[in-house]
Amino acid sequence: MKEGKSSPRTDVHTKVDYALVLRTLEKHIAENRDPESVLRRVRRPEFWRRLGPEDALRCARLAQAAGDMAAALAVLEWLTTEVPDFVEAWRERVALLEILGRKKPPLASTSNVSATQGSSAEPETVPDVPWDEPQPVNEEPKVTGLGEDEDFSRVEGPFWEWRRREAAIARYLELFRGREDCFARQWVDRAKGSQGYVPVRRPMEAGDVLEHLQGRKTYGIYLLQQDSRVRLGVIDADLAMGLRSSEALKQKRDLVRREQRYLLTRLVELGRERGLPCLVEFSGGKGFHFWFFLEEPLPAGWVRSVLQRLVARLQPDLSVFQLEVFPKQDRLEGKGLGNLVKLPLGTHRLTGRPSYFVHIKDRSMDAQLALLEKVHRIPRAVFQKAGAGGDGASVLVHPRREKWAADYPELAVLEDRCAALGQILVECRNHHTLTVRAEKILYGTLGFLPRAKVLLHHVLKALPEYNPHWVDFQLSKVRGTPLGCRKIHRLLGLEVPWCAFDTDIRYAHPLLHCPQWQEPAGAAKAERVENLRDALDGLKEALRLVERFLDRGAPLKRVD
Amino acid sequence: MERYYVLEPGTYLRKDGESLLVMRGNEAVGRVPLEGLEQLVLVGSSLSGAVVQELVRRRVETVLLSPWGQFRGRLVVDEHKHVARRKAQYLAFSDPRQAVHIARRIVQAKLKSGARFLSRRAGEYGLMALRKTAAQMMGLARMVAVEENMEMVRGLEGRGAHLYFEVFKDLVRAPGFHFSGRTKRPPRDPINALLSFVYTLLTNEVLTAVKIVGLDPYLGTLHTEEYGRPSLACDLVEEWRTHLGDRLVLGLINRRVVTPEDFVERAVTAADGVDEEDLRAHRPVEMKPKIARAFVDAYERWMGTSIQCPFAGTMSTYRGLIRDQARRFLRFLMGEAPTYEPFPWWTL
Repeated sequence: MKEGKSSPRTDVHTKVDYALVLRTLEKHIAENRDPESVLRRVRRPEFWRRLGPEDALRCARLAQAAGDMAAALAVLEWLTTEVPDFVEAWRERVALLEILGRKKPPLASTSNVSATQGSSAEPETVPDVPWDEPQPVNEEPKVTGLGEDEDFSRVEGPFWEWRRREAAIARYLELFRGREDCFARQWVDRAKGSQGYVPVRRPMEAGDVLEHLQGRKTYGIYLLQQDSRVRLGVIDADLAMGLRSSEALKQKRDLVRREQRYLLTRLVELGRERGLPCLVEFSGGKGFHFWFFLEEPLPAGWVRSVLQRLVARLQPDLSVFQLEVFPKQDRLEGKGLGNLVKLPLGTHRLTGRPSYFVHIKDRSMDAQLALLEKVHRIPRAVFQKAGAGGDGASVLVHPRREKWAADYPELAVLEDRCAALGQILVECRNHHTLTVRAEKILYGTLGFLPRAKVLLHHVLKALPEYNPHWVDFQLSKVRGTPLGCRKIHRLLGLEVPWCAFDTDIRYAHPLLHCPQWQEPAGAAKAERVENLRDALDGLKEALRLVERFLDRGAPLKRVD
Repeated sequence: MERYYVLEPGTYLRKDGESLLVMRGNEAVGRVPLEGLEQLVLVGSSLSGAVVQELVRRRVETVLLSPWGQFRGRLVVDEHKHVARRKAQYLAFSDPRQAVHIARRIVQAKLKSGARFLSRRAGEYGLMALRKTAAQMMGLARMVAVEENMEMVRGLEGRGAHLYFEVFKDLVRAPGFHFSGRTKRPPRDPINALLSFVYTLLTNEVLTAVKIVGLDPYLGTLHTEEYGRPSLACDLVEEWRTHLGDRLVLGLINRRVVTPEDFVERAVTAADGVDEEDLRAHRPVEMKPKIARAFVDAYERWMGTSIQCPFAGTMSTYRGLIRDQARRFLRFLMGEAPTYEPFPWWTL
């Protein structure tokens, strides 16, 4: 075929206007009308062989658009053979082969075309050759899905965040479960400064939790189920009534802070030792909630009695916090719904402050909710033992603490039995700077023990300003007798009763708790006298210093 | 650009100082700061007169979508600039040869990028059906390239879309999802719902780009004039549908990020269509509100994806590309470029 590329040919015998035919077929394609008629035409070599190159190319495109790739390739192959300098045909043939994932034309169609070239008796058609499935090995390796989108994980982020939040809310609902058929909404009257709760008489849903977490509403749960069992117990630690005003709080800020740290550390430790892990929450109001989650619902009386023992153990050491156990009742009576506890991580409607779990620094909602995944629930056995009259489960001390207690038995005893020293030692363990008074108490007590140097260095080295030389110097100044309970309580501002000792003694001091302590011969008979002697020593030292300052040139005189 | 989406059907906006409150009844369920706000997209939400005044005063572009993501309207501030540009647009679109030339370029690009997309997926999945459709679409693209008749261009575009959505089900690789063809107004299955939503967001994106360059978004060429339809945005969005819209939807589905459980499907009953409430109640499929929010977040991140622009060679984002293309289209209309070059997805 050597004709020019343009000018559609008209068959001289049949007077067929091929341009019109092609146009009609194109319309059929565009309108998706009678595609079979298009295919019938484009599959017949005697049809496209009569066309000029441009029209043959149109025919190939028609075959391609109609879905007969074999026919399209046959036309293109014929075109490239007959008009080798027709670049567009080559280009389209290569593109089609590439898109089909084949590097050479299918043999079936080419052989079919060449075999039928000589015959014109029957309408020749290029059969619709079924294509072999191309082998993916020829393709570049790609990740299934969106292989080309390397950073799609960034796009997925919001969904995973949302699903993580959903799972966290489900966990929240599962953990903080109280009465099944209702919960409570907190109300507040800011003008009067009062607040309270109204029952919402339907089960709590995920949407309610979300509202609570977003701070739009604040909800609480009634702990007792209708069968008088509970799924969780709470120890509520509230600041004493007299300290709730900011003025009163300002005066005792150090005491409150120290006692707060002691409470948060010791109550958790005491619970853990008894197999009662808990989650501690700042309530947003007056204090803290210690949440104890149960594996299964248990009688409220059991739970109360076990938690009550923890409270009984710690309450004597506290002067500014009042501990209270929830549920308060053993069973539901009458029409009441029982006591309720505000749910954590919401906003206290009266104070406007958010609630959060204290043992995690990250206050973001996601981090706080993630903490719930790690919550351990307490098995029934712990409470069963307690119900039988024991002191809860057998005490299981953490191995690290056990080793510490073995290495420093004096400290373990004092921390356990003396509230004042216990608070100071917790401060040291938590790496908080000690006040001058607390330091004085440490030197004035531990300094008299046989292993004073070891103990003081061990305790004080946890502090940021620890200076071993300074500790040795302070220790070298220790004189007289240990500080007594009265003095210690006064220095710390503690308003708790003194410890009860077995023997009748006139001078009470913390070291009497230590089995290692031996009262020296001629021991002090009364705290005041011994303290006076100590004060006299201090006064002499002060006078010496003043004299040295006033009369620098003069030789030092003894002040005896 | 600060853009906010309010995805709380049944809510209304109220002005509250320097921000807008999203109200459900008497309760505030959200807050939108007005400072720096440039675009506000309301999905099934309404506004008060005071809010409208404030939005107009601050020249905040406000888009109103139906609860299922259908474009309903736009709060536009009277445009007083770029008369020359609009004039060039009107002149070009009134010339049938120019109009068909533009439509041809757009449709050709759409068909080629669709074919390229199917061809790549065919390689990944080893599916011949996808290859065949890709080849068909390439054939259609070649037919369009020399077509001088607008109706034929539209017909070939429609045929290409039909072929593409016939094999779209093969692109869905996650169990539980079914796709039996493109349905819209309303979409009848989760995939169609996602496609409709993302197409609306993309159209909105293009519309903003068109407005930024000072063209009239309501006069197009491929899409005829229709009351309230931003035809030019509908034209220019065609080159983005596959690679920005479908790829996002398929990616989320195939990676199991979106699951069938994220949708509420209802037995289809005839809606009277008397009001919005009735239509909403009879929606065959609906994204759960929370997943819709996550989807919009994902879309925003998607549009911020970095890509190298093949024209300029510089790094840009998908959103940046759309804006660049609108400027490129403007240059063509103003006679500064011989033709409009759609974004060449098929070469990437």
